[in-house]
Amino acid sequence: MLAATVVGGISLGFLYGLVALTLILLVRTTGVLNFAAADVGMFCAFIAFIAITQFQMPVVAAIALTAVFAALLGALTYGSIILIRPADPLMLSLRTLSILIIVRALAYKFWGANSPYRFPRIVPDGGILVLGVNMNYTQLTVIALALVMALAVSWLTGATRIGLMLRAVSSDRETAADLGVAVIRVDLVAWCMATLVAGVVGILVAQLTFLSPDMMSPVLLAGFAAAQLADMQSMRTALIAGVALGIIQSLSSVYLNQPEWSQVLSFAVLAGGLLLRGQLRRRVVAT
Amino acid sequence: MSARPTPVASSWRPSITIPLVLQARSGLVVMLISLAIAPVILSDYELTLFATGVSYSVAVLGVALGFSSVGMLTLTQPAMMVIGGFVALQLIELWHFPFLLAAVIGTAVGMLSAIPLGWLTCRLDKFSFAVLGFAFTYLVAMLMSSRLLVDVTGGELGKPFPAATAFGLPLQGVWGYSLIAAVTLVSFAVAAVLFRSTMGRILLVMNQDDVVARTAGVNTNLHRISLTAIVSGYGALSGALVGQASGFIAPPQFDVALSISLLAMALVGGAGYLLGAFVGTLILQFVPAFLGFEQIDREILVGIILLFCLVAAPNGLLAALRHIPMRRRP
Repeated sequence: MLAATVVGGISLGFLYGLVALTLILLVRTTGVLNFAAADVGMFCAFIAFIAITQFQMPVVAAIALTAVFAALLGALTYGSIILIRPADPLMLSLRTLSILIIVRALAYKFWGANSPYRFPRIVPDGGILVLGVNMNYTQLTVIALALVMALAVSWLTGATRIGLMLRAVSSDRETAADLGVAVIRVDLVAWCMATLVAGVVGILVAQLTFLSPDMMSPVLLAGFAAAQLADMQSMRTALIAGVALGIIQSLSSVYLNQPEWSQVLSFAVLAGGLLLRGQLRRRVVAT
Repeated sequence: MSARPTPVASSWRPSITIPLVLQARSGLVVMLISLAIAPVILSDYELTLFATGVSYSVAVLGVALGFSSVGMLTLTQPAMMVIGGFVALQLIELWHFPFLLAAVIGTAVGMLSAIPLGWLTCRLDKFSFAVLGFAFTYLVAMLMSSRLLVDVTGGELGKPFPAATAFGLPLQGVWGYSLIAAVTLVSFAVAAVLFRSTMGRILLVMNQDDVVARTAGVNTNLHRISLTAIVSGYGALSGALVGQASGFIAPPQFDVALSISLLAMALVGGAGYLLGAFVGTLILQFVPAFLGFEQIDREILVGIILLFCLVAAPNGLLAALRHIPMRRRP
């Protein structure tokens, strides 16, 4: 029971970690805290759902189509909130609030009436025994895909030319531009990548739970928390923080036996973690 | 909110002007005229919509105060609204308190419950506090709808909010509206006075440079906590007013989406202007409802207007109106 609960928490936590990863990617490159990070994923999940159920597309083709849509949505978001008129990071972050409102409202308008939906199974039902713990294929897929996404983003940012440019822009935007880095192209890549990852998270959340316009609210919250706990800097720490939050939530929802107390505990952990991080940061500054 | 140097520095106060206050007097006059005209030109149903919008503007004013003074991203207002609204309702239902007294106590409870949040603002950066505020609103909305408090709140379905009474008679229609309009006007006037005070000036100095404020002997933590309590007090008062205006109160009305809408209203109107909260609320809350837009269409409209304002008029519509380019002389 305990092990199964922990595994459930890990699979959920990886999704939180991936949302945190997209947040950090954008904060580090463009300085924007993307409030719409999770909800664009929900919208992408609906696109995949429509492609599979209404247009009878094969799952792989539907996911490929969704990936293209996600990248275009990322480019459109970047164009409509940043490129259109540059501003300071706070103002740009506030602009993403409007994207959040529009995306969520559109999802409610088009698909809200009959929600929640059961997303078509991408992997078969059933599971396998791993180290004495029964893991279903959905959980395994979520964990494996999340790890692949995290490693891919890590490889892209750490070992490729575009990653080098991303890090240069993240380190000093103006100097990078002076040295010939195409800053706008780098920003565009970061936004497309972040939205693509969000799209995958949206589909995976829909696989784990149900598909509905408000399914990403708790994921966004936990993703924010994980990113903040990682000081908006370290993607690895964010992933670990996300997994830790997922495990705590999963354990508390089972053992506290009341969802209300589970949420109270999650809030306490978030507040405590943020305070602790603030304390550590002050100590580092002081020394 | 940009701060500009005053032509003549006063003897000991920081030498900066407060745009919020510069427009305060004219803003209050415009509000008074709008509130007075509304019952004459609107039908009963439209007046109810207008009263609800006016009630929301009090919470938006709180958001605007926090944002314009120290750049605080307040996403906790819906939580405070639900606390203030249900405290007032309980006092009216159980002990037959008059509405005004119940609303004042609800406001005080909202302010007290915000003190721990204020303590957190002293220790967290802006974005961390915004995230925590988002989480707090989510938590309170969930708790208020849960089985634990279903007797108090009515759960998802909510409860009817009794009309205020005067001399034993219920204040309905224009009289009920007048009460809400008067309370709203007073709360806006209090905000204007508050930010003309020494505290308001100190908050502006803190926004510019926290270290300078501390060096000058200002207890910045105390001021942040006080500001959080004041902002939350406006939220709690708004909750009671919304209940009174619509005759009904339910926890799902005050979810996390509302926290974003309230912030949008403050930004669209112009957070640095007293009238900004009122204008923003009317544009995003009352006008779409008046034009018969459905809830979902209203939200899409809110998103589009917010994006347009943040791109074309980042300091809000009132700021944009103040700086309309003059025609060049021949």
